Amino acid sequence: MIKQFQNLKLRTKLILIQVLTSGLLLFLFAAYFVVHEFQEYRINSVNQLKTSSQILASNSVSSLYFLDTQAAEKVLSSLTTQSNISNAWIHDSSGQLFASYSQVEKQDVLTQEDLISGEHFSGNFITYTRDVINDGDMLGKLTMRLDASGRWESLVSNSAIAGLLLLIGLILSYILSANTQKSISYPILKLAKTIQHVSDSGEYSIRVNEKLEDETGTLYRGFNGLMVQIAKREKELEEQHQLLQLVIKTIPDIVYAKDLDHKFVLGNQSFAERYGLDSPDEIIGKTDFDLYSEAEAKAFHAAEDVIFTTKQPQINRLDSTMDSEGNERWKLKSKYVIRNSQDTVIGLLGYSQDITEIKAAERELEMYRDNLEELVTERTNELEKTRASLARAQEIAHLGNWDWDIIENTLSGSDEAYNIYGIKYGLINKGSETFMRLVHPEDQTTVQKAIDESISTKTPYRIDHRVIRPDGSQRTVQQQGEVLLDEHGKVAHMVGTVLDITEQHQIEQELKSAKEAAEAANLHLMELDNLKSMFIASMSHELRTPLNSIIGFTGMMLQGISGEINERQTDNLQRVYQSGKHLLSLISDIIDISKIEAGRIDVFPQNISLGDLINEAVTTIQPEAAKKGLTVTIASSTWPEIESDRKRLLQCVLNLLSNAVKYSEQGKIQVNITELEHLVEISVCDTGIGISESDLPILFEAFERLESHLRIISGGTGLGLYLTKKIIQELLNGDVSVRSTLGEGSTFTLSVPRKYSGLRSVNDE
Amino acid sequence: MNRILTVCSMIFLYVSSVTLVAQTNPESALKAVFLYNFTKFVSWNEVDSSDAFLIGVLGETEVADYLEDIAMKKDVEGKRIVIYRFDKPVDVTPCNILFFSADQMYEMPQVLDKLNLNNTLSVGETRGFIKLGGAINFVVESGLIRFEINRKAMDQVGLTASAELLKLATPTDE
Repeated sequence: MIKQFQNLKLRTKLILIQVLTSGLLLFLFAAYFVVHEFQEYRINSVNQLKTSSQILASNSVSSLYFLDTQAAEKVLSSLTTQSNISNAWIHDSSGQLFASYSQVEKQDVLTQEDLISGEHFSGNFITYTRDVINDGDMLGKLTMRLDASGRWESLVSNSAIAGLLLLIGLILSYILSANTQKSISYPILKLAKTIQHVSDSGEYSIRVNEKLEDETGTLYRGFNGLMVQIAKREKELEEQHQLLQLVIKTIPDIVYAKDLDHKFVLGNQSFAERYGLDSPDEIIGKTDFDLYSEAEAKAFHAAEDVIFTTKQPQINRLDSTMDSEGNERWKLKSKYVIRNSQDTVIGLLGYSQDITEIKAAERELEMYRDNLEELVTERTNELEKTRASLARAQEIAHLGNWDWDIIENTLSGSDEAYNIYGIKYGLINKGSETFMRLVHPEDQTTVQKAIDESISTKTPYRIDHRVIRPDGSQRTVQQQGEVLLDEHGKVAHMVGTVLDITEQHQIEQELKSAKEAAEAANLHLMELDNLKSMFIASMSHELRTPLNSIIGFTGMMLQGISGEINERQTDNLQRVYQSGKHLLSLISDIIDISKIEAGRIDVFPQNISLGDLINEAVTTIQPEAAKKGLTVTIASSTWPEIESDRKRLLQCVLNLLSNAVKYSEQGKIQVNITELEHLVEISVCDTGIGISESDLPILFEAFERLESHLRIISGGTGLGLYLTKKIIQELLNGDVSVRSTLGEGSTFTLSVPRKYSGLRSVNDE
Repeated sequence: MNRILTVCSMIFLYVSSVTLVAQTNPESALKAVFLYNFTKFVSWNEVDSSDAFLIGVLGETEVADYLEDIAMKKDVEGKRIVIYRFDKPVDVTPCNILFFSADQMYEMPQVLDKLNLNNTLSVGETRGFIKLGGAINFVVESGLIRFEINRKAMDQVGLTASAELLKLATPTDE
């Protein structure tokens, strides 16, 4: 039905639509009014019945109470005024007919259903029944019947009029639409005509020149726009076609196309040149039999038939042929199927590329590649060797290196690094946590701090810490590391070394404890020494007093004050006296040393005339020297005045002179004074036995007396030089030195500051 | 036959227990029903404060039995119905309806002597009862029970019969 409608002409469609629409509308209106009229009539009729029956029912109550049929029928007879009520009945409570009424002389029948309270519709009649009730007494039923037949007749005639009006309306609608549809159908028909013309003639320049403002106008403009687009596309297509032609023509490779009969339908310039043709157009219509030997052509056709049946292209097939000069030519050939718009194969497109040069280059390249592979293998081996030796070196040095990827938090390292930590080789995930677990718990905080600082300040760090290996053994390592930055300057890696210093660390610890022990012992010794010095100092008086008595009284005896003594006694007393003197000087020296060591000697600086001091010393020693036949001279051009302790300085000079006399058998002793800027030097030069070079270092030690024959003959305490050195260095802030040649003599030099500073510059502990 | 059926149904409606009796004596039954039905169409003008509606029956009659059955089932404007049986006129006490059985009709003057019958609906069942001053009298016309109404007598005792009732009454001789 709809399809039939679609095939109708536009004009017919428009008229049909309008007529159908208005017809439907009119019909609906008419139908509504008829139905409405019918309903309305029914409702009104029922209402009429209800009202009338109510009055009749109440009027018939007394007649029912007193069983007065006559009275009841009299009541019913009042219905004569209502022409449409055809019948009425009263039934008593037992269902017996009590009274009845009929408008015409015809008793209508009642069905049992009609006696049910309410309205009933049947045919032309409307029957209504209600109960007659008074004071709660069910007295009977009143039934009324309305004859609607007259009403239906008028309804039918009304419907007929409506139908007639409907027909007139349809005719008018047709006339109207037949005229108005032109305004719609004419422009569309015109457009259709134009399109037909364009498609017949192919003139894309045609435009519809009508100015309309409605949708048809939009259609015209759309059509015109479409025509412009089509023209543009046409042009583009033409250009593309030309470009394609150009490509095919100029491409150095051979391009051709064949139909299903293997006839050439296209060939480019290269193709023509290859086969010695004047122009590509000459190729069209030829077959392989025109260009190749029969065998070759047959082979080609067979191959192409395979392509046509399988519809699979043959791509980049390598082919080798001999050219006319007998050289091998390599060709890459491809054949593709050509399909039309219905996807049916209509031919094939062939493409042939001469790759002889490329092939040659490829071979050369392959050669290079082989060489390269060898080179790479060689280098790899070298690298492996280097790596192995590095690993060995690390193993020997107990030095490993590691790399921590901070972003990924992975750790990797050299073999030795894994050995030092006693863990498996391989990449370690959760690097920082794994590492920190290996660090001795007591060192973890400091190690973490060092790493954190290094990362935040981007400076290297070095830290020694202990490591607890997974097997429980403990190692000490020296860890060094520094951060590496990525291209954005962000901390990305930390690399470093780890050195196993467990053995060094152990030795260091041992050394340290040994040193501590030595220091403790030394301290103890010093205490003892101090104690000794104090003991001696305090004991000196007690020692000297009895000795002074011995010397004094022996001297008195020698001088004969206590009576005549014989020669032998004199000799003995002389020995006692000399020994006493020696002991006294020994004690004095010891006491002096002790005092100096105990720090109990005070210095009394005063102005000294050095000349006087030297003279006094020489005068004192003169008798002794004269006894041995030695001459003592003072050689000096100056006699400076200095500030120092006279007594102590004199003691030192005397000591040196006394030694010079003691160890010289002949020759002379000379005293020199030399002035320097801040110092004055006093030197005592003798021509004695001299001192061997090996003895020079111990010369100034206490109780050291040199191996010589004079050791026996010369008296001496062995403390002289020791005391001198102590006085000069520790009290007078000077120094003492010696130059000597064994067998030729010695020169001792004292140097003292011109002005006593009060500060002990030497041995100031 | 139809008539009897109707009477039966009416009696069944009011006095189911006496249906059988009604079949044997439908007239008395119907009279009892009509007596009760009169209460719906007659208005007692005097205000009556008692809680009972009194129906007196003078003389021996089955109507009294049927009335007692009705009294058990029905009421009059909310008041229970009490049936008094009077043997002799002297026994009569004031009541709302007083039924005179056929044999007692002539006792009417005595009753009037004793009571003034004010506010009492007097009902008889004998021709001439109206003439004696009765308000309503049952008559039988062509086999149907109908009744006469003495409007004057009703006015005298202060009662009003409704138009409906009057319409149904048969015309009196007067």
